Amino acid sequence: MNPSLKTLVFACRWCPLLGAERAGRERLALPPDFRLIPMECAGAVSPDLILRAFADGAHGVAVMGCHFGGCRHNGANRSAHTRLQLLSAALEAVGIRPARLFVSWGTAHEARQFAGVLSDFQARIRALRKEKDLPLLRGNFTPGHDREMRP
Amino acid sequence: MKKAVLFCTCCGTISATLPPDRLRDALGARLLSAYGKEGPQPACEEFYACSMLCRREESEAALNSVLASGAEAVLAAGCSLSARGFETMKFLGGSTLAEWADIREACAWIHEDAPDGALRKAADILCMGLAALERRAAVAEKPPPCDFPTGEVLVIGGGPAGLACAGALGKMGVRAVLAERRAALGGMLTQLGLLFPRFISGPELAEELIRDVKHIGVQVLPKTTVSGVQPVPGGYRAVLNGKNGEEERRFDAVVLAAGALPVLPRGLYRYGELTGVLSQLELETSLGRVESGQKEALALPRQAVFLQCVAARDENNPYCSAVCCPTSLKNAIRLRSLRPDGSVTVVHRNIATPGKHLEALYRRATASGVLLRSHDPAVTPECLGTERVEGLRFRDALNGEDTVLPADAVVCSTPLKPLPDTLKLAGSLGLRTDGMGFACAREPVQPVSPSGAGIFICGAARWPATVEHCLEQGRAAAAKAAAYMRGIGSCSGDSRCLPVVPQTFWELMPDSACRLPSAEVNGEKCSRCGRCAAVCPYGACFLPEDAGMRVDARKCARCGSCAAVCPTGAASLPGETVAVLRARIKEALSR
Repeated sequence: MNPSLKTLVFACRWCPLLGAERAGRERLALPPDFRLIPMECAGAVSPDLILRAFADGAHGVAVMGCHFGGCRHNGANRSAHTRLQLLSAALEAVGIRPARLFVSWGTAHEARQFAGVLSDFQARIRALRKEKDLPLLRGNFTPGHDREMRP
Repeated sequence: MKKAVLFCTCCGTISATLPPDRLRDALGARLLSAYGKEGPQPACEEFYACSMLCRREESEAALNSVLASGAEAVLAAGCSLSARGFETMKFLGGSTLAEWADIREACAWIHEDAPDGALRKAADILCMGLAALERRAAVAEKPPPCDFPTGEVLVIGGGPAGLACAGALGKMGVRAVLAERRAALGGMLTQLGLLFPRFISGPELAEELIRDVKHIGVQVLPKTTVSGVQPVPGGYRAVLNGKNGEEERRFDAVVLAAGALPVLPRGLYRYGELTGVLSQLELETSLGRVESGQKEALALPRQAVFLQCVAARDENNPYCSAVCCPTSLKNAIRLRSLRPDGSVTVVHRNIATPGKHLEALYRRATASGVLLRSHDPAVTPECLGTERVEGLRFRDALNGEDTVLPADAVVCSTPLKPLPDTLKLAGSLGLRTDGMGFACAREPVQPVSPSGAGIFICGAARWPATVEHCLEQGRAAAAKAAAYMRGIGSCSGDSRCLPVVPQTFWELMPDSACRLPSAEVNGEKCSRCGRCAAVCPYGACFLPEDAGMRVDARKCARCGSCAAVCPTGAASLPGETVAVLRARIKEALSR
């Protein structure tokens, strides 16, 4: 594990943050290279903040929100989803692999899901770092966590 | 600004992974490496370790000790917010600028197998918190002027619902102001002799309620009409027309208990033309006079026919008013007992007496000899007679035959209908009205709370209700209003920090409703692009003609979507500005 690897996680306080806290209470071991930033809503994560995080040297950025239909803010997560999809296209254009941005909806109170999703993402970032010549990954919205997405 | 860190070892479960002295050194080294010796340090002079920060004694001692050392802001590091963090944070935040850092669930407990990484991470988390404190201090220093909370609730209407509500509010220690448009309190109670189902006296009940209200110190404004209530940032501005002329007052919450209007059967069944055609309210009054001994029982009609659903369930008032059947049965019972020699027949379309008490009333009526005949609504009944009423002709619904009942009185049971003034008030408060014109709450989940924060509605203003139901609803509204007042009492008094409760879920959590002040838009930076209005899930952002975007603080639920899409950085949440978030990100990634 490279100690200087850093992943930033924006977690909505209604679902994923509770999942994260529960993961802590269940003492699910996670690699210590992520930093959690609690947000009121995933909708409050602006693309600008994410770009700034990449500019500040984040290796990966994860945005986690409530599942669709379960947003505490009248479906603000849907517009956030659209926004982040647009952002991932923009990331590619500016030379940041879209795979470094991870978006997940629906880690509601589910400690193991939170831990699993986060470990997978961290593993992905680690792999990306190791294989520098890996072709740009498309579709950062991995199918595993896509199931509640609007078709 | 001098900041202090309160480190909770959580009885050793945090310090097992993160020993306090090592963490302090790591934090010091981290601060030094990031900012150098001279640079602008998010300096931390105090590092105070304790074992159970969630114990009030310990948090008090820790807070006093760091405040005595001159610290102006406190970063408390311990368990997660959902564990003990939130309440401890609330306590600390009461006396100083405070920030919470979760290093238990988010660090110590999940990285037990990587102590070095955990230590680095904990130092990072603390630095993120310190940086956020630094930025937040700039916001916290300039609270805008605010007239709220006033601590007062306006109760509009001094009928049974309003009296019960004001009295209950007083008992819960909330200051209530009761505005009644008539000179005397009591509303419909003063006109009702006996009340079903328990046949207690209306005026006596009114007296009791008024005594309660006055004893508890509710400010009563008789002969005062409320000509308008406008939501303003922080609460409501009401225009009161009383004996001092027009007056504007601010209230935190408003309870609408203005009641409804009894319809008179004007132009129907020769009311006003034939003597002996009465409204139910007129009969009620004369029954009351006889019962109190002011009038002879012989003055009461001997052969009374009660006609139900007059001016109700028709084109104008297409609803069942729910109070007329019980009232008729009650008066029929009273009339039977006062004139045992006479007869009472109730001619009805169907009798609506649901519920335990009303069913008992129905049984009591039939047992006391009240006759019930159902008529065919397709054929309008007709009052017979030349000067005095002599009978009622109707088509019997059971055998289909036209029947004439001899009568010396035909008593028309009329419904309650919405008061035009109440409708106007409801309109100015932005309440929805149902198809019949009554104001709507959010039934069935929130029966006395309409969608606006701090507005409650009870009694016949929301639907025709019996006195008993009015009392219940008044008390329910009082409970809701008191919980609401408690919620805003705990907020800082910042005019932006409103207890906005756009969703049921929030209403259940008064604490969370006050967690952050509403979003605001900096008018100087705003380019009027309208993105925030497009994205706001509550429709709280609006664009005035001549100025920058504004946020309706009552609708805003502080999700931060507007700040996320604002291209100029004008929109922000005062607690979590972009600057605070950037500071956090920078600290998280600075090494």
